[in-house]
Amino acid sequence: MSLIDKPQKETVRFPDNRRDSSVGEMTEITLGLTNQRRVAVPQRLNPRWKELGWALLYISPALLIFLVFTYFPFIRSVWLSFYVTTPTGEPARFNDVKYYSRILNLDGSGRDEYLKSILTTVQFSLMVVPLGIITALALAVLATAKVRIIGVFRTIFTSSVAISVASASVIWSLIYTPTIKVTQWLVDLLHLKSESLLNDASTALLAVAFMTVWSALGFNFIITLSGIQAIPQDLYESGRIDGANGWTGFRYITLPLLTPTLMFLFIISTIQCFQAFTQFNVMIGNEGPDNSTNVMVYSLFTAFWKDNRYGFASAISVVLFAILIILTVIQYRVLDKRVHYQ
Amino acid sequence: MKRTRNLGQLLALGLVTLLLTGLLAACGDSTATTTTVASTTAAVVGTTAAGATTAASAAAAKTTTAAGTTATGATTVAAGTTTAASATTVAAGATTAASATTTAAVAAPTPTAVAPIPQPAGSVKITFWYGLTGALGNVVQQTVNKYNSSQSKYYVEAIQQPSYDDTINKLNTSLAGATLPNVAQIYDIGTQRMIDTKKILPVQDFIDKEQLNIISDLEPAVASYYTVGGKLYSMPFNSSAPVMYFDKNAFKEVGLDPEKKIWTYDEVLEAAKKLVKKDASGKIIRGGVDFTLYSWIFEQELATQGAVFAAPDNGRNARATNLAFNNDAGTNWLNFLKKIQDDGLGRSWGRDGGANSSTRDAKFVTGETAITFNSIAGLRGYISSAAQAGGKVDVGVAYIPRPTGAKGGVIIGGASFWITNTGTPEQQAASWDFVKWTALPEIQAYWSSNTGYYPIRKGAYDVQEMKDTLAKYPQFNVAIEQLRATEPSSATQGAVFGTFVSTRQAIEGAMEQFLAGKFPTAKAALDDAASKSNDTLSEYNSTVK
Repeated sequence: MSLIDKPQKETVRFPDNRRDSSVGEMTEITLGLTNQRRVAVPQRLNPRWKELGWALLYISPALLIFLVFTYFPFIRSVWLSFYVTTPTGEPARFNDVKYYSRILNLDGSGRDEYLKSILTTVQFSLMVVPLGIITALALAVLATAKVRIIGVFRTIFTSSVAISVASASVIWSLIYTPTIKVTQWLVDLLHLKSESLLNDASTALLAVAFMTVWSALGFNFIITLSGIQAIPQDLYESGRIDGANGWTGFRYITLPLLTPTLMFLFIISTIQCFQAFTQFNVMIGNEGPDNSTNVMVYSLFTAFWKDNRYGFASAISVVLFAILIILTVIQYRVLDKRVHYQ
Repeated sequence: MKRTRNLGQLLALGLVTLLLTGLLAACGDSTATTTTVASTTAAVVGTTAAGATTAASAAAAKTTTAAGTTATGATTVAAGTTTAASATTVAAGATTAASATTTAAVAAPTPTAVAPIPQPAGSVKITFWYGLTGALGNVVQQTVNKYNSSQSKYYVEAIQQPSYDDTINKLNTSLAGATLPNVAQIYDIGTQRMIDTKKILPVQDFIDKEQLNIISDLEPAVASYYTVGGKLYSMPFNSSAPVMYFDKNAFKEVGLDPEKKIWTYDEVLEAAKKLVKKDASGKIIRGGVDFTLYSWIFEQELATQGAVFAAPDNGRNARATNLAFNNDAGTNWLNFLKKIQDDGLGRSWGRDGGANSSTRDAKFVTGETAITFNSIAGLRGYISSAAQAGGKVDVGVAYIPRPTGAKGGVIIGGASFWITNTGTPEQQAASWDFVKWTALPEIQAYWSSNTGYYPIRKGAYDVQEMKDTLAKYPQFNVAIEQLRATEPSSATQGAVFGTFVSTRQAIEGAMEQFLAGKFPTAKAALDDAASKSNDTLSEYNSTVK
């Protein structure tokens, strides 16, 4: 491993080393181009600044879009989260951090629904992420089988990627309708008090999580399968010589070399779970039985569209953002040590 | 050796595939023909035609595998959807075969949109937003077309919005940009928010200016709902009220009077005991009373008992400052529902809306529910769906139930037309001309006959079209009687305050939690909803003047 590692690290450093020289070249060229205007430009202007100017010019189309549609709304959300707003969304008065202390239940009101909604989101992620990755992995391993019509199976396993979350939610809410036999059988089996899996506090979140796993399966499957296929066959061949077949080969060759892919899936799935909204809105359409499916984005949606408290909704989104940043950093830090890059 | 391994892998693959597709296929195995009724009450949240099509396909030698799943999901089908699919999955030894008889996904024909007529040259154009969709939205467009072809001075451009909620939200966000519509159809509970935009020209001002004698001919309950502080702010257009629906055949079967109109809670409970049917395992196969948890009905029950929803006086004379629904009237209704559920007399389908409402409607029209509650605007849907589902159910209508001694009364629901102060004086005149025209008895008779809402004008009942409609749907008369029997008071006028949408959600949440046993008493559940709602309301009130 270390043998492969070393030269790669150097190639990573390569551009860094070369940059200074290329900067010099670039500056020369630019200076040459702007020779005529040179008189107007003060001599002491650092060429680095000039370079930055050109860089900004080149990225300006992308930057402009980001500024208008991402950074400005983001900064405004942070700003709004400290204000109470009018029904039209204009700030009415400064509210300090009251919304934040309400979300984290630090204001002594005893209303813990927002804190609970954060916990619900965590619960949801814990249900969806591991199950989603394990199923995708299992299917991907199955799909590497060397049989003639494997393409058919791969297509079938991938098919859920073609169905949008909204459509999938509609299909699944039909499946969960009390008039459907399987649902009735499950409801009877679990001795539920309610008539539908989606109307019972103990099963609603699980039912949505199951649908989410199904819906994300196609994507997870493709990524995992391509990860497996990227593993060089000679590793398996030399493994086989050493007696690594079947499970051993999977455990000691496939799994370690798949960890970068799995980590990518892990982070992406976690973020998606924290941002999940469509399935909750379509399948449940409210906070769910006993608030059991009131995930963060849904409570944000309620605060914005139902309560028309734009400042509050902004505060929830900022909290969500903070949680996601922290989670991602932790995941990178902790998992990166356990990931094998070939 | 190698061949057996391949075969094993293939088998595993096949099994997994079956698991994936079989689930969808088996789920199509519906017990009854599920007929979803076009529920005209609130904006119907996307009911959908989705068919799981399973086809058997032969694969490798000796192994047959079921494969191929196509599932289509359209997001919104406003009318009715019928899904009936049956699938059988047989697994025997190494051979798995799935035979599927599939999908009679009979979607009720989605009404094709009505095309607007072109604008005549030289006419003054105004924009009009409306929030009704599907078949109802088409009737709105037809009504607008009627107006446009009735004269050539003004032209109304009707723009459909996805829902009532979206209409008011979009209007609110448009306030800053000054791209307001001239006329907007806004739902009942948006009344206070519309007044608070301060961009409204009250229709009362137009009426006073022309000294029109129109208010005395408006249905009193309807007029009083849209009157705040003694002023008629908007012109009611589509109005409805809830009723108790029941199956006359089921009533006759157990010896109940199918012509009785007024029922107390105790009488309903007694009737439900006779009506409920259970199978050997004790599972309900016909609910005595099945219901959704619906704040609108809760509000109606408060009015029936003469209790206000918000204080003071439902916000009718001065701005409402706090919510008062956590009173005896509220707890009576919650306890009534809980008793139905706990005594096994009926079922709750969960919070109103979407699939839950569809379930309620489907069960009622197939005779699996004897009594339920919904808007009178749903009458036609029920009658036609019941006929479609085999005609077992004879739809009957009664007043919504009440506790013994309550005087009764309902609050009008629906939507009204608001004129904004945007545009030129000429456009404002055009707006009023259009709104005034929609309130004409003939137009209201046309509207009511084609939709199932109440006409807002008493004069509409003299129009032949309306008389024919009433002859065809005699049940509608009960709803009119119930409306007319309502005593005017601030309780039956209904509440106006700025955060109604939020409060409804809080109430439905509390009802659900109470029925699931999360709160020891109905009072505790409603107290919780009230404290949540008061928090939002006081914040709203502090930002508007």
